[in-house]
Amino acid sequence: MQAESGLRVKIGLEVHCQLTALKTKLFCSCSSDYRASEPNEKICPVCFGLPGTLPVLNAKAVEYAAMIGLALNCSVANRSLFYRKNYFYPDLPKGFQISQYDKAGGVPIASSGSVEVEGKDVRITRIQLEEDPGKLTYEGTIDKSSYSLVDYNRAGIALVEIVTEPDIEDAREAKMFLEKLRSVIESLGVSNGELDGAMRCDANISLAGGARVEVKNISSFKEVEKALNYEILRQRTFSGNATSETRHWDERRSITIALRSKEEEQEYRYFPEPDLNAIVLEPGAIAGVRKAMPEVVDAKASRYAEEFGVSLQLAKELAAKKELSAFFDECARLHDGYQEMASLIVGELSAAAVAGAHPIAPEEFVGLVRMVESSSITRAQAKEAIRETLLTGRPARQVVQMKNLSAVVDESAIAVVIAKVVAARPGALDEARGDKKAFNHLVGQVLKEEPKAQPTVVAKLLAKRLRGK
Amino acid sequence: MSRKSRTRKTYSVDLRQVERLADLSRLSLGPEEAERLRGELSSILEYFATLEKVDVSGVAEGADASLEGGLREDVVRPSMPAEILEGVPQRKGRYVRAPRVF
Amino acid sequence: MKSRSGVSLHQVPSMVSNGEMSAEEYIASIFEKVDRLDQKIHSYLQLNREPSLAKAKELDRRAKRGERLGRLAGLGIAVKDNICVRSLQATCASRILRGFNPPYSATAVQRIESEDGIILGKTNMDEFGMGNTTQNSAYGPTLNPWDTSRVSGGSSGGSAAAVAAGMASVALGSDTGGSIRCPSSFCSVVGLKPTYGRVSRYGLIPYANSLEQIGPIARDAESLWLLFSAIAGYDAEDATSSREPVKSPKGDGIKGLRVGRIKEFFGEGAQQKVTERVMDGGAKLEALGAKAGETSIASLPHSLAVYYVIAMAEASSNLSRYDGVRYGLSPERGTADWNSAFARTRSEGFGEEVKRRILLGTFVLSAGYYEAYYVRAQKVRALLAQEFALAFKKFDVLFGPTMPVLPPKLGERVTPLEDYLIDINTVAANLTGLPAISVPCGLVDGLPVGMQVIAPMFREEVLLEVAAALGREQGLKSPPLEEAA
Repeated sequence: MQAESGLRVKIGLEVHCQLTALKTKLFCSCSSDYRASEPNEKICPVCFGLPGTLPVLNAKAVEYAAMIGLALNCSVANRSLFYRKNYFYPDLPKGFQISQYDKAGGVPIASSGSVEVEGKDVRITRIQLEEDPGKLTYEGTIDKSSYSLVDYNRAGIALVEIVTEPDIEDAREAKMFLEKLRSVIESLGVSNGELDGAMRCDANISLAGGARVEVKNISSFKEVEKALNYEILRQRTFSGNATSETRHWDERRSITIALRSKEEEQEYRYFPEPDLNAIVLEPGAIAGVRKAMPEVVDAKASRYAEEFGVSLQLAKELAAKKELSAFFDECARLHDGYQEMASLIVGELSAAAVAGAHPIAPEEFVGLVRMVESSSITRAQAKEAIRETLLTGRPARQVVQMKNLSAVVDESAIAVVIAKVVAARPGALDEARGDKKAFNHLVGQVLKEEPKAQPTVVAKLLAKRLRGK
Repeated sequence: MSRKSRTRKTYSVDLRQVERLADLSRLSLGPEEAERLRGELSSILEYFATLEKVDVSGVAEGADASLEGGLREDVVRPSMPAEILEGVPQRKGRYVRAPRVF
Repeated sequence: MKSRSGVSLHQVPSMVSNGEMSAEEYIASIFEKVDRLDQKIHSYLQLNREPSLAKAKELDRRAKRGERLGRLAGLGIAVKDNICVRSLQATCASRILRGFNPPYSATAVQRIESEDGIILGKTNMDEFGMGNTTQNSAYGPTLNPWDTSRVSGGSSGGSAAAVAAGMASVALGSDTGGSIRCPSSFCSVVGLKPTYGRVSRYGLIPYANSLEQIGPIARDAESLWLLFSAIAGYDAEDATSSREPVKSPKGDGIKGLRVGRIKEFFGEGAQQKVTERVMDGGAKLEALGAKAGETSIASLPHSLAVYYVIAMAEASSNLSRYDGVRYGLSPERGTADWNSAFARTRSEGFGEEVKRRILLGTFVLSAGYYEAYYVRAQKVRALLAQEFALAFKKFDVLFGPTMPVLPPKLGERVTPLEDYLIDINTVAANLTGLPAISVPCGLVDGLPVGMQVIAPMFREEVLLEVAAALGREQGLKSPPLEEAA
């Protein structure tokens, strides 16, 4: 992405996040677990929009939305209303979406917050509760099919819409923001952002104060970066004000295309939803939510850095994944080798592996760490053991024995290897003298020759040799 | 059209507005029907405009008659797919068949 | 009220329960009356004959076994066709819902059935509740049993006429701007619009959600109360329903009750003879010990405009879901695209008045007009509520004529606006949520007049006392049609 003539980019995001941790939909008691269902299986008169039915609000959804608001440093409203957003589409059973709309005088459930992304604050304009529509599909391709097929399983699923100010300045920052957002929300336990369709986003982009272009239909975070880069390039190519319009991201062709032009802005005829009452959250209730909510990612990272002395970067990575930090917390209760444990957890244990078919127990893990610290195995050997355990389920201790993993610390044995390696590389010793990079490279060569050698011992002996035996 | 709170004095609608309203409501009107409705809507809107004269200064700003409460627990109850699908006029398998969108 | 066999309607359940009366015979006699009279009246859109008779038979069997039966045992109840009854169609008297069979019953209907009430069938109405004569039905009008060249009123015309002509013991209607009270007045029966939130709206196909309630229609106060107390009360399926408990009427008359005549209801808009009858009614209340006075509700002249702006706005949104895709009318679409198929279905399926209100509702909600119309109307609504609350400091109930006119002739040509104007007395109770009842109050040239009485929030029991007192005083009359039959 070449730096262009300095045309400043402003990007705002609208993220829709399903509250997948809820058991039911937002306004009815149908199960929210629809992904493995047949079409039109999780439907009832309410979410199907049959005449005479009424929405009843899920109390837990309010709690979760307030929690997200607090985690994103927002003000949570004491009183907010639902509004009807009226438009026609086959996947919208009532002919309106129940949402929250702040311009008609009402306030959404939370607003005016911020998220820190790589040292910069991205402001959150508002957070609102709303229902997901159903899903529209076609038989064959969209242009050939003479009819559409609708599945209402998703209709009525609880969504939280999170809207940012246009504080984001490039596509990569957008992706970082989204990943941070996802980890914060996952750490609250209110949503699993990895589930298909659980987090979607639209983007608003403008260049140098020009018109705002909305890009819709971005299916994943990976696509976000691509779509934004494409759109920025497209607007720069046409230099000057783009027309204010809505464009659609075509994933297959990796381009944005203009949607059918509309002469006027969408007319949604918002008005307060008469079938629902105001959402009331007294200060006491909000305080209760704050108290009950899990530790937020940033606070957790700070805690790891300050309390446990884990390096900040590592602390952030650890805190970002709920399963990893939970595992770390367990281990920290057993042993105080915090930095080493943090490093191995982040490096070797992906979230999936921790929860996977062959998990490693904190006690086993701590055992390995102790062995590394006492130099009975090398760090590389510890990693090997961990991988084996995750793969086979065999206890780590057993793996160490079976594979005969033990660090070679015998100095005379290592000296022999060093001599062999040095002999095969004339001039390497001289290079290594005074050049840290070359020195480390040489250590690496020795370890390659003898993988069981304890790296610290190799380094010590090699340094000694450089100093002149 | 933005939603600024300007006071619009409208005592009549023209045919173009009637057509726009019909489009927004997904109603298709014949030309005679549209003209007749134009006249009726105009006189009714003129009647509504009498509300402009009422002094509402005594009413609290943003006062809404909303009640509170009426929430439910997050507990699953059985869905009703069979009975609902039975009433669907046109289906394809378990899908509801609707006209194409484009 | 005594039926021709001399039994008071509200005694039917206890008599059925202790075997003194056969539910099967009673229900059969009602259907026999329907067969004789309803060709002239056209109250019913659907009859639930076989299941009703079967249920009545079962009640008699249970009574014989000594079982305790429900509070409504054996009563035949007609249900307005915008209230869902599982296994029967719910058309709202519209073409667009022809063939719609709800897989659920309204909460009010479920409560009736659990008290052993018998659902006789679904009654005619103005399409989607929009109208005050039942001439806006897609299936033909309902005629007035007191004069079949005149309208029954609306929109619950079918229910009111059925009760008036003895074609049902009691009935359910719905009231958004007077739709229970208007036909009750025109057909000389008692009809109650409960306090907003008193009766669950689950299963009521909505016209205007913030204004309407399901309510009872009956020949007399006692049977009205029987039905009301069975359906009233909090429902978890309706977030706007109230937990406020229903108070029982004390049954000791209206001595000392402060009754206030609403000045604005007796103005030049009302026909003089109608006014006179209602004044007579007021005098009767005084004779029974009530203390009469007069009050003024300054914003009343604006209530009609407020009502229509809000009702039409809500309606335009409520009716968006009728697309012919998931239920109801589904004309052959060929390969038409979504928007044009949709527009065609709706244009074919909706009547004139419904289209008019959808367009107006869309207008008052759209950008540039929302503040001036909808928001403003809600503010005037709040003002109206304040004024009523003030009046209730001086009076226990307020009253006036239910309708400013006598039942109009069928087919009388009026402009839409002229038609809306006769709702002028009834809409205020919907806007404020206050409970209001219409009670028969004499005849003018053989045509019924009704008195509307309004009470403070959740005080339906006071309305009942007034209705009972006035009912005892007036005596019950039957329409000539029923007498001749």
